[in-house]
Amino acid sequence: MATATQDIQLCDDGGLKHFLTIEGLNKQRLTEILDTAESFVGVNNKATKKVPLLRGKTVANLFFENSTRTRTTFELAAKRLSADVLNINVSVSAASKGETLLDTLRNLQAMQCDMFVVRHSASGAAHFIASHVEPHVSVINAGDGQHSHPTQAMLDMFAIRRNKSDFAKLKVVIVGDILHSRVARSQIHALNILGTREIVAVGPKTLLPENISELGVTVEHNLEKALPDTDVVIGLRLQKERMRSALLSTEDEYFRSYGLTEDRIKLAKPDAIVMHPGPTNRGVEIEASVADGPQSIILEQVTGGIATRMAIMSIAMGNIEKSLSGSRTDSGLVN
Amino acid sequence: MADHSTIDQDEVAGWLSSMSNELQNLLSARHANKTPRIVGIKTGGVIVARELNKRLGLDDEPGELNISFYRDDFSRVGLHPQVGASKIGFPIDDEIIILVDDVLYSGRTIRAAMNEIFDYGRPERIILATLISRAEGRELPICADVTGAELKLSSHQNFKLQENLSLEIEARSCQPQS
Amino acid sequence: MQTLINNCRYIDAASSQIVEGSIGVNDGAIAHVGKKESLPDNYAADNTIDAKGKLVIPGLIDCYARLREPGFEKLATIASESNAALHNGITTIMCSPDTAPVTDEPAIVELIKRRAAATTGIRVLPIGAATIGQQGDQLGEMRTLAESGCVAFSNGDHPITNTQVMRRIMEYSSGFGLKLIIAPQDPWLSDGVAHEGSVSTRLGLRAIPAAAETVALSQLIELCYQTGANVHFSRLSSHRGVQLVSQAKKDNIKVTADVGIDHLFLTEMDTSDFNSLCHTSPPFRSRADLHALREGVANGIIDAICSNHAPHETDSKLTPFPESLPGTSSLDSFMGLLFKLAEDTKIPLPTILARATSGPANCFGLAQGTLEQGLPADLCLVDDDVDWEFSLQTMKSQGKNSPYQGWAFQARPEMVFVNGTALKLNS
Repeated sequence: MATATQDIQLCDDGGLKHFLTIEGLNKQRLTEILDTAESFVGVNNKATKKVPLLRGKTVANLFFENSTRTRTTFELAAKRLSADVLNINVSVSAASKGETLLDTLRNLQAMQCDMFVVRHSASGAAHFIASHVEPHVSVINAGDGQHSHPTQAMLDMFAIRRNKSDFAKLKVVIVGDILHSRVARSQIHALNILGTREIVAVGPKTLLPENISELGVTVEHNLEKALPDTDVVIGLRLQKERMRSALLSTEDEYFRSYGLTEDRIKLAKPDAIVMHPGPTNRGVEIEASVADGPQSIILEQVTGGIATRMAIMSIAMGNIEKSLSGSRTDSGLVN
Repeated sequence: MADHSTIDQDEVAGWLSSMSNELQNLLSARHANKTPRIVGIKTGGVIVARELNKRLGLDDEPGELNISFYRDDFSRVGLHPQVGASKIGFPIDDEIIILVDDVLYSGRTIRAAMNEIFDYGRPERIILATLISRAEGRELPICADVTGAELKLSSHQNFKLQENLSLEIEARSCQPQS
Repeated sequence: MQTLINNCRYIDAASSQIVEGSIGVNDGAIAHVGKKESLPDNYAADNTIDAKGKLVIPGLIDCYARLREPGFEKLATIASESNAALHNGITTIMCSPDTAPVTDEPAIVELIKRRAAATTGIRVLPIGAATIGQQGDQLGEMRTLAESGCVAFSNGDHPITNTQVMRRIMEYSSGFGLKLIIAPQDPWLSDGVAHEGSVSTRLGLRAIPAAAETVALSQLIELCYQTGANVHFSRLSSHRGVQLVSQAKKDNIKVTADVGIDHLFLTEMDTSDFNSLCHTSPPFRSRADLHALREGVANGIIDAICSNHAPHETDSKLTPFPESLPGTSSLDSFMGLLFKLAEDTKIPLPTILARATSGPANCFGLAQGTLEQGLPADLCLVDDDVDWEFSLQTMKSQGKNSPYQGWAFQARPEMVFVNGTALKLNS
C-alpha cells in the first residue's frame, strides 16, 4: 500500500512526471535532478537567462497558502524555461467563494495549463491534485501541509553537493521543529536516499516524537551532544504559533537550548556548513552572525533553487511529453 | 556501405587540415584583423573544435555548447541525458564565431546551437564548420561554410566520431542525439 | 401465518454451534427451532421454504449508525439507509441523534419511526440526545424520549467536554434505568485526522494518540463507578482501550462496549496513500490495536460490532485527506465483513454473529438476537457461499464513501424476515 503514494508520480518507465515527494525515489532519480540542475546553473549566467525548453507551455502557480519567496523562485524558474506563468493566489479567490479544489483545478485545466505548481496547507493536497489531473498535466509540489516540500529538499541537496563531495561521508544535523516541518521530512528522505552517513534530528520532544526515527534519523534532544563531528548543520524555521500551542516555552528559552550560535557551531567540524530554508528568525533559531557568517550557505541555497527547480520542471514536463507522444521514438534531432 | 565500418584517423586528419586551410582563407579574406573564437557542439563537435583550434593556432580554449535545452524534439523525447553544461569562457558580442560540429545532417542541431549562441550575445558572424556534411537529409536551410568531406549514407546509418579521431559508421539507434 | 424454513443450517442458541434443521414461524414469532420431525403436530405451514445449504441467522442488530434524516437528506435518508441495512441482513438499526433538528424531543422520534415504517420495514430505533440540542449543558428529556421509543442516549458526534455535566447525565439516566452510549474521545487530544504513529509522522498528518481514547475512558469509567450509570462505550479503537474496558468489567462496573466494524479490518497503513475514504473518527490505528480489537470480539470484552455508518456526499471525500469529512459508509459491507472476519481469523462465526445479534440485544435490553422460541421472528436467510465483489456502483446507501471497492465477500442475504414477514429484496 505504501508504494501507491509514490507511484503516481512516476511514468511507466520510472521517470518523474509529477514531483510530489522524495520518498520512494531512488538515488539515480535524485542524481539526475542534481546533474541537470548543474547544467542549468550556466543558463543563469548568460546574457539571456532563458532556454526555450518549455516555450508554449503554461505553468500555473497554484498557491493556496501564501509564500512570496517560493512562488517567486518557481516563477523565475518557469520563465527562464520560456514558459508562460500564471500566478493564482487561491486562498483569496476561489476557496473563499465556496469553489472546491477540484472545481478550481478543472477550470485551470480548461485553460490548457500544462503544469501546476501547488502549495497547500493540507498534507496530501499535491497527491490529491496529481490523482485528479488529466494526463498531460504535471504537478509539482511546492509544499503540502506538514508532509513534503521536495523541491526545497533538492535545492538543499544541490547546495550540499556543491560544498561537500560525498554524501556517504557526511554527518548532517537538522535542528528545530521536525514534527511540523515538511522541509525536514523531505530532507531526511533525500539525505537517506543519497546515502548520507549519519542524520541526526535535534529538537525538544514536543517537536520531535520518537517515531521520527522510523524515517531513518537518530533522535537527539541535546544540541551540544549532536554537533561534534558534524559536516552540515541545518536550522529549521520556527513558526511562532508553536509557542502558543504549548509546544514550546519562550523564544528565549528556545534560543538558549537550540539556537545556532557561533559557540555552538564551533562544536561541529571546522569546515561545517550552515543551512536554513529561510526566512530566518534571527535570535530565535539562528544567531545573525552565524546566518551571515563564513560557514553559512543560506544565500547559495536560494541561487541554486532556481536551477534546481528548472531541472525538476523540465524533467517532469519532458517525461509527460514523452509519455504522451507514446511510440513515436523515431527520428528526432540528428545533426 | 556496411553497417559497421570505419574511416581511419589519417583520412580524418586530412579532412581537418583542409578545413583549417579553408577557414584561414575565409578569415583572411574578410576578417584579417580579428581573432576568431571557436565553439564546438557537444560532444563530437568539441573534439573537432579542439583539433581546429590547434591547427589555427588559437590560444583560447574552444567554447562548448550543450544544446539539450534548445532541442526542438523536447515534446517527443523529453529532456535528454545530460552531457554537461555549456561552457563559453569568452564574450560573444561582435566576435567571429566558428561553430563546429562533427556531422551536419538535418540541420536541427545547428539551429539549436545558433539559438543558444545568441543567448550569450550578438556575434558579428557565425561560420559553420563541420567535419562531414551529409549529402542528403537536410531539413532546414542550413549548409556548412567549411566542410571536411561530403558523404552519402543511408538514413539508417550514423557517423560517430571517436576521441581518437576515427569515424565509426553505425546503425542508427533510437537515441536521436549524435 | 405460518412459515417453515426447511433444511437449513442455523446457530443453536444453547450450544452456539451451527446445526441443521428447520425453523418454524408462527404469528411473527419463532415457534420452532430444531429437527423437522420434532415440529408440533398442529403446525401446518402456509408457506414452506426449502433452504438447503443456506444459513439462518437472527436478524443483525446494528447499534450505531447515522441515517442523516431528518436534516441531512442530501447525504442520506432513512429510506436509502434502511434499504442498505436490509440488504445486509440488518433487521434492527439504532440511529444516532445527530439529526437536524437534534433527536431531543418526541416529535423527532415519532418522525423517524413514521419514516422507517413507511420504507423497508426493518426496525429503526432512535438514540435520543443526552443534552438538549446536543449542546452539552442542559440534560435531555431522556425519560420522555425513552417512552416515545428511544433505546439509548448519546450526545452523538458532539462529545461532552464538561465532566460535571457528564456526571449529571450519568446520574440522571441511571435513575431511570436508561443506557448511555458514549464514544470515548478526549476532545483536546482528538484534534487531528490520523492515528499518532509512524504513518502520521511520515505523512505529516495531525495526529490523534491512542491516549485520546484511554484518557476519556479512564475518566468515564471512574464516573460510572461513582454514579452506577449504565454506559455503553462505542467505537473502541485501541489496544489499551480494550484493556481498560476489560478491567472495568472485572471490577463489576456496568459497562458494555462495541467496535466499529471497519476497525477490525483497516489500520493506519490504509491511510498511507492519503486515501480520504479511510479518514475516520476514531482513526484507524496500528496493527497491534486491530489485533487487540479482534481479540476483544473473540473473548466478549467487546460486546457488539456496530457499523458506525457515516454516509457522506462524494464531494466531502474529494478533497485532500485532512480536509475530508471523517467516516465511512459502512452498511453495504456489514454482512460481508462479518463473515470475512470468520474467514480471516480463528474466531468462530457464531461468536462473530453473536456480536451483531445477541450482543447488542443484551447491551440494550432488546428481546431479540437469538433463535429461541417465543422471540420475534427477525431472521435472515444467508447464502454464505456466494462470491461477490464489492463495488461502489452497486451500493444501496446514498453515501458512496466506502473503502472496500474491489474487496471479495462470500455472504449475502437471500431472505430477510422482520416479525415473521419476509421483506422485499432487490436482487
